[in-house]
Amino acid sequence: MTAFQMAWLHFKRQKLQTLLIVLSLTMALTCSGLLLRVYALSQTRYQNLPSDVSAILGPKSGGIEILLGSLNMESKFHGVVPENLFRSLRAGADIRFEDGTVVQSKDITQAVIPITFIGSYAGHSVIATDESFFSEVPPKPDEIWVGWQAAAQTGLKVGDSLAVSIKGTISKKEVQKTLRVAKILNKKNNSWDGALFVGNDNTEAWLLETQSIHPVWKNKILNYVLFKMPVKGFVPLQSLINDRTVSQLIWVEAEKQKLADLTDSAKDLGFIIVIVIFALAGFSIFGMMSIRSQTLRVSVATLEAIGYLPVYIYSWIFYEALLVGTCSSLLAVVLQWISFSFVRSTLGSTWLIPLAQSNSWQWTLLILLEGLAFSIIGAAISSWQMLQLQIHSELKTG
Amino acid sequence: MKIQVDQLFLKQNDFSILIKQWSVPANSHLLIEGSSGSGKTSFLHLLAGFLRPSSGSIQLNEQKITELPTVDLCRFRRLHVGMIFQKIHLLPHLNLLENVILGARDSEQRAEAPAILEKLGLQNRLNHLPKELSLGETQRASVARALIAKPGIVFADEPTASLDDENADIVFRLLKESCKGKSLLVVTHDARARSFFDQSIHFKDLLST
Repeated sequence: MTAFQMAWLHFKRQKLQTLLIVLSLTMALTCSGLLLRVYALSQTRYQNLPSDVSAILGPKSGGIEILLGSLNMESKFHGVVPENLFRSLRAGADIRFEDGTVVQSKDITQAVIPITFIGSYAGHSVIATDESFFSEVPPKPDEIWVGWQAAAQTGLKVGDSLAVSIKGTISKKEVQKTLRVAKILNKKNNSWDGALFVGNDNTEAWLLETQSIHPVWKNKILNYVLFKMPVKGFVPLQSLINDRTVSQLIWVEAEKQKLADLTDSAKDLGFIIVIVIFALAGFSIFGMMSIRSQTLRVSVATLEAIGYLPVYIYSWIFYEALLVGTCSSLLAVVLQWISFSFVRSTLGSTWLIPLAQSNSWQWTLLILLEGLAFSIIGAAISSWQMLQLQIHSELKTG
Repeated sequence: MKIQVDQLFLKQNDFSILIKQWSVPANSHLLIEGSSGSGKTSFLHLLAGFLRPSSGSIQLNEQKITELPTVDLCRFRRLHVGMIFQKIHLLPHLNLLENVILGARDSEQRAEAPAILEKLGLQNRLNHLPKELSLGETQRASVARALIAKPGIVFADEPTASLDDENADIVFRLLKESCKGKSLLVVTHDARARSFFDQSIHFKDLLST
């Protein structure tokens, strides 16, 4: 009987013991793998913020909230700003404040882009904007343009018709609008890849239809205004807008830095936890393999007593570790494939990395290697324990 | 296979064995009797090389087994020694046939396993795991495992300790028959063994003071 046959028969016939050890290892590997994936995914969270936006005007709230709400599309309820303010900034006209102050904006802004989160399709945000966003003629009223990643995930292609859920920011009323895909946008490698875009022609009408009516500005509202501007123009404009309106102007790089400062300590902690859980999985495997090999002591002593060489014993333990490790790793891979999309969705964010990419084969390979490597190290530890075994004592007491 | 023991000394905690000179001619069938706890099993384990003596030597034919490294000792046992354990020690995850085949050295011997088991009345138990068998059946299977490779010497440690008269009779007859022209050393405190052996010795008579 070969060592592999011996390992296979032991693996197969000690059903309950095998089941328990495989399930334990599977859970350990699944937990460590899931945590690793979540950690790696969280590293990408802010990597794809569009880089060509200098400043953002949004409703008064936190700077980071405006940053992530607009560029990372993370907020479920975006606040609103008056369209008049946007029109004034766009026109380069004088901005007249209620206290009589007048500021001319044409010299300090290079591009002014309106953004209204007007609805959603299959979990992807639908953004109403205009030609300043695209640098070309925007979608016609019955058309929709689809970001590269959104198209990849939804399978939409040019010519398809889709029913978009239109939902204004203020009201909860929802209406369906059928639009035709007129263009799939080129890959931008930023969050816009995950969105769909419509022109601004219908925005006011749709806001009215969904009863998104502001008490003062009625349906002449939008969520954010994006700016491309030099820093020297930002300071006076920020001072005026932040002090004299219900809106807030933020400098993107400054808010990104604040975000980085806030999240770095959490990242370090996350990394430590991942390492601890990873080590925990490893030690669980070592422990399980060790306990399993302890149950083999008498059998091993018997084999040595009837003349089987130590190399046969070690091969048996090694093959058994390989069987246990392979089964556990494969089960863990399957469990993670099933559970990761759920875990990812509970993180409450619009992830820019597609599910397939964050659940890719590299991660699968890592889990397989982790399971196998830890099992083999466990087998080496078990073999070392067997090396210390006294045949005489085992046979007498076993 | 001739056994020669020279100045054999084993010290373990508060227990020791000292045998200055002792030899058994080749192809002898010898019964060593002794009470429980007298050191018979340890002595047998010394002879089989499971236990290294504190000093002295043991020679089986021309081979001083006390000088052999572990791996060579395993090889020697595989080629020349058959072992029947007091606690039987069938591997629990192998069925009866697989357990017996463990003792075989080549495919020819493996092919003989069913016939040997049939001789022992175990032909209907080939695919049963040890836990599904009676004590008598497992003990008979362990005898088959020791004999299948036709070793030059068989060491049997209390081979009938837990067996009823009928099964003890079967085991002793099988041992005697299978070891014709070979050496057989049985240690036991079972008085039923005496009728099967011409030569017997009490373990305490072996010990030197």
